[in-house]
Amino acid sequence: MVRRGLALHKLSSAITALSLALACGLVMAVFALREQSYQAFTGGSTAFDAVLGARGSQLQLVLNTVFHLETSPGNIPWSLVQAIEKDPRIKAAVPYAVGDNYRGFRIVGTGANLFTEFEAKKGEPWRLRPGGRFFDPTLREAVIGDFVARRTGLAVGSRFQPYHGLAFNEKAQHEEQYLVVGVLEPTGTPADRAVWIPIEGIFRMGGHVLRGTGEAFDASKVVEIPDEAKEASAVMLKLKSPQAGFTLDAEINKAGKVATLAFPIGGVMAELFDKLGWMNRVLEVVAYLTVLVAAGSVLASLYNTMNERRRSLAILRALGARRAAISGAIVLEAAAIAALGAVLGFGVYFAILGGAAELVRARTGVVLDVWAYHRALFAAPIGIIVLGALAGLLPALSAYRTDVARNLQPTS
Amino acid sequence: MSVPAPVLRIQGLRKSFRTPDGETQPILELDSFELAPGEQVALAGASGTGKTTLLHVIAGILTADAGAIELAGADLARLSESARDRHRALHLGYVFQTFLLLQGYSALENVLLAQLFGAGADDARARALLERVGLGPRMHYRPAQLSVGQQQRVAVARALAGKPSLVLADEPTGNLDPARAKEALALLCDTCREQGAALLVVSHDRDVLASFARVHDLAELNRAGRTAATGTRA
Repeated sequence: MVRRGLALHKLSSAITALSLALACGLVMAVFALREQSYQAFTGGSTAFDAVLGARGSQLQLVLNTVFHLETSPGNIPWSLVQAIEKDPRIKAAVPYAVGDNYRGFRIVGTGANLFTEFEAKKGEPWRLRPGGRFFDPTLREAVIGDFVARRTGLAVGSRFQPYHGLAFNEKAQHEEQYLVVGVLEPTGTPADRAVWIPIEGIFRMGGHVLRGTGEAFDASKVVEIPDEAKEASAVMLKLKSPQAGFTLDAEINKAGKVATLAFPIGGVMAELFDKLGWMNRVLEVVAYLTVLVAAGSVLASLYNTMNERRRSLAILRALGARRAAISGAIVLEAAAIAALGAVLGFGVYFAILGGAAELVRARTGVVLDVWAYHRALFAAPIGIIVLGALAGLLPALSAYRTDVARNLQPTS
Repeated sequence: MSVPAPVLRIQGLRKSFRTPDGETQPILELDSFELAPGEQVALAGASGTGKTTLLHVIAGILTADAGAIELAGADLARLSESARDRHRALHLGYVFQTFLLLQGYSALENVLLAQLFGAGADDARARALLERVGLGPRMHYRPAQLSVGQQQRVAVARALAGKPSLVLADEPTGNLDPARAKEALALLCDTCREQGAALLVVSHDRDVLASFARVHDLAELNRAGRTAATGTRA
């Protein structure tokens, strides 16, 4: 009876199921995306424990260095880089200098020890595609991320000229040529979107000036750059213990006035998510409203067909069907439409999440796991089916109250 | 030799309707009526004499205001609504005037559904019944794809699907031309006889009534019932 009821009203059933699918997919996507992005941006996958940078916002520092987004809050003198490298609480330190790009992908000047003393992400060392090697810090060589290679077509042996600035401007091309000597295996981190060159390369890039001494210093014209002239955008740190982070935080952020320490990195990003919490709640409310509208469409769809069904229901009753069986079939039909919507909702969910994951990856390099389990993937379909069944109660009540004798009367 | 218990026994049946003016209009006043197992009886009556109402009351679709209706050994008034539904599904077949087949279902499914609410679907019996009424090749057709005569045959097969003790037929030939009407009535009577079901037909058609050995006039039964009631009250 339920199957036939669906078949007889297949158009309205299909439209209703589709609206439920959208609602179900949307709810699952909102919750899963929130969880996934929170985990990806605040979770412990980053290989750095802390970032030291110019006095300013910790969030800007983390976005600039870890996620290769945002502008640099400023530079720190080389003496600070050397001091932090020698600090006994530091296990490893590597400076970053940013300010150039290649076709929109950020160029990061850094030390060769980035690839030896740090990992691509926690527990995963840097790995190169076959045939590649890490750059020689004394040469104009580059190692590029997997995403950069795929988007730009650069490969080992390719040469490219950097562009000035963090945003791509075709007219701002530097004259220096860099040779790609290695392409990194995908890491699922922002590193996939970066181009790594020796930090010396950034210092010596034509048009760049160093202001470590307070005076402008053109490094492109000298053989040896004096340390006091050098600057760095930030220093990426690995700490010997979490306790070290807290003491450094106290010294640099609370007592000091020169620099900023972003620690812990996940905590800094979590603050960003907390600030955006209201937006998540708005999205949740919108998703819930969509579910309510979809449930209303189940009610409307079934209720609108009740008049044409009444005669069939009366015939079934005359054949011996009990009231409860008839109204139960209506509720079951509503639940079946909702179940169909819930199943189709997974298609909507994967489409939304797939699109969002691709967007996040293209913009940040962070990979969201589309297949990861989230309790919304279980709760939302169940909720939709229950709500669908509840929406069927009113039409079911109408079916329950069908006057058999009156509806058996000849209609013509 | 003992006399078998009647399949239908009606005692002191009263049924009335409320008119739009708010008055109570008696429509059925039957003192006594019985139908033996396998018996075939016709009830004559003009339009508006309560023929369909009587069948609905016997079927338990409508409840009587007073009196007792015993169908296959059970007093319908003493049964709960769901028990009455089940009793109807198990013991009664009904051929409606306009057949009332379910349009979204095939002929076979219409027959199977009638079994479903009683003893359960019996595919072999449903197919055999449709073969018997000559619809073997068309059992998967939907009502709209069948002629009126063929729809009537599906209705007969459906009425007999649950092995009922009694089949009620309301103007079973009302929608057929005289030639097909005779054929359809013969089919109804023959199949009921073969299946051991009693048959109660209500009709105003003289040709139909002439086919039955036992014919009652519903108006007369009502009059007799009224007189008996008045006498009792006096």
